[in-house]
Amino acid sequence: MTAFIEIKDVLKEYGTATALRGVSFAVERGQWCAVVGASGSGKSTMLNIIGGLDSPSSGCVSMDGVDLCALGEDPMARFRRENVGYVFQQSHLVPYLTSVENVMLAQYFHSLTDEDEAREALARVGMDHRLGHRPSQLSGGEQQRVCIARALINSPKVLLADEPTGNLDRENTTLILGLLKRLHTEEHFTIIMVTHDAYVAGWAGRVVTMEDGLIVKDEPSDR
Amino acid sequence: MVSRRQWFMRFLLRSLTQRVGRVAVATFSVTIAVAIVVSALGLSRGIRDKLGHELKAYGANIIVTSPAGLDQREAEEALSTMPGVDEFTFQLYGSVMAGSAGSAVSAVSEVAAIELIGMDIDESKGWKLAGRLPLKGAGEALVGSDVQAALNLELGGALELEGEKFSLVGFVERGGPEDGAVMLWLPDAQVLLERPGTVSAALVRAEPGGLEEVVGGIRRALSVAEVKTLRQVARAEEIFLGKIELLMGLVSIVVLLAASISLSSTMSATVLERLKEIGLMKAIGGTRRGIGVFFVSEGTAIGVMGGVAGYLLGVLAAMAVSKGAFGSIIIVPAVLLPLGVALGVVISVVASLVPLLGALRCKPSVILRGE
Repeated sequence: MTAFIEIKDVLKEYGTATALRGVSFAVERGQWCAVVGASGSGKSTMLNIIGGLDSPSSGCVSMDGVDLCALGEDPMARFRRENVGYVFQQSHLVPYLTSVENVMLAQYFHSLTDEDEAREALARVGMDHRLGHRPSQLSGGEQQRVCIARALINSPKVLLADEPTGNLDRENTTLILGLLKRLHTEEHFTIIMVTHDAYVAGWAGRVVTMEDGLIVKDEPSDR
Repeated sequence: MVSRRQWFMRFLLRSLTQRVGRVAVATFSVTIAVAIVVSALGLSRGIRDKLGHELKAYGANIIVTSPAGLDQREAEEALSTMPGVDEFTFQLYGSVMAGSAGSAVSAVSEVAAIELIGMDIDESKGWKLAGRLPLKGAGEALVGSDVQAALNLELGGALELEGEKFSLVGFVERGGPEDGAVMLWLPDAQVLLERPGTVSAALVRAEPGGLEEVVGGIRRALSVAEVKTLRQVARAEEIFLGKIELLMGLVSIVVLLAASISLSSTMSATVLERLKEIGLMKAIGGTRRGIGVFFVSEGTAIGVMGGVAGYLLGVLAAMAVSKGAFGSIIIVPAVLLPLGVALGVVISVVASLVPLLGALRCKPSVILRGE
């Protein structure tokens, strides 16, 4: 049986530099997997390729049975909006939109916009008191929670998080990880999370360690 | 539930109103470009009208004659309805016996045969006048400088023409046939020469550029007439006005190119500043078309605002320039408003398209990494 997410012999080169050296990796539905490694180990590149933000130089990537390498740019965009929710290290919110409007932007690119649903998504991440605030009026942790609400609004099949707590203090880090934990345990989200922080990785059920473009360790979390 | 259209408009409005500084800079660039083009086009048209008006001082550019004379009423009817005819006037030529009489200061000179021109004296231009123009129906005459010298005439004296006395109210010098003639109002001349309802020539002022059409029209309407263009005047006018228009056209094109290049850098900077936004939209599922439509709509809105403001500024600039150059205000036609708006939209959208297309081609991961 094919895994929910599967990458096989993926090579990624940027000019003369090689970011991934024939990586193979699979994630089952409902799993929370942390990818750890030093800076430049290729973990973010692998996450981007899984989510269709980048394409491999060679090798195959599939999600839920769909061969992502066979998709052109616009079909890939449609695939992303249907299946993938992203949480970035820098939350990448549109600066001139309010919290609720940033969530509605993802709805707009998906299908229909529903402000009530967007408010509910923000309430799920404890941001119902900051609906009309713009990103510049929010703290880093609050921005990241808006980013999670935006990632969840279209009910994606997988949540991809690239250093979601990288810019946060311990208190906000725990808050965000608690949110992800709840999504994983209560709503059975499949989560792949890139981090360089062992504490953060410990929240996941599985930890994959990368080094110099290769997976060197793949084990259950000891938490 | 908010419809996609409503959300799109809300998103667009937010983008325009929450980024006031950037939007203002882009709109200002469009405004300046459109204003310069609108004022150049408005002035080009206005200058043609103004110069055309000034060139009327050179007189008629078509002369219509007939050996037996023209029927004044028939000619008047034909010319007054003819397209391309700016104005026309009639003249009657003849020879009369003249002598000064009754002046307190001059003795009676010997009687001589002189040329008489009957005309609409109020409409005559380009004369160097001493005294004043004769009033219609007042038995007054205007005398050319050569006649004045030959007959030793003085202002306030009287001139006897074929036994009829006319008051001398003005002397003229023009360097033309008028200098050797006596000029009366046309009805007076027709009575004196016993040719009522008849004129020797119609002097027609046709719009420069439409000369040949008017000549053809006159030939068809007045079959007995001989129609001649005063080619030197007509050609000089057409060449002059053509050059002015060409100059203004070239200036408009150069200005438009310069403004477009300047605007292009402004719009490029605006789009490049928002690369991360474009990368984010792609990452959350925006297609190239969907994102492109948003940015093009934003460019269109800036183009419309800049186009309207540019038209208004261009009108004011054209009015100020014309006031300074001609002493009167040129009215810029309202048809330049839609043209200005269309121009604003085109240069705004085209200027933003180049950087936008480049950004849309990039992988979202590359943009979000900030490369």
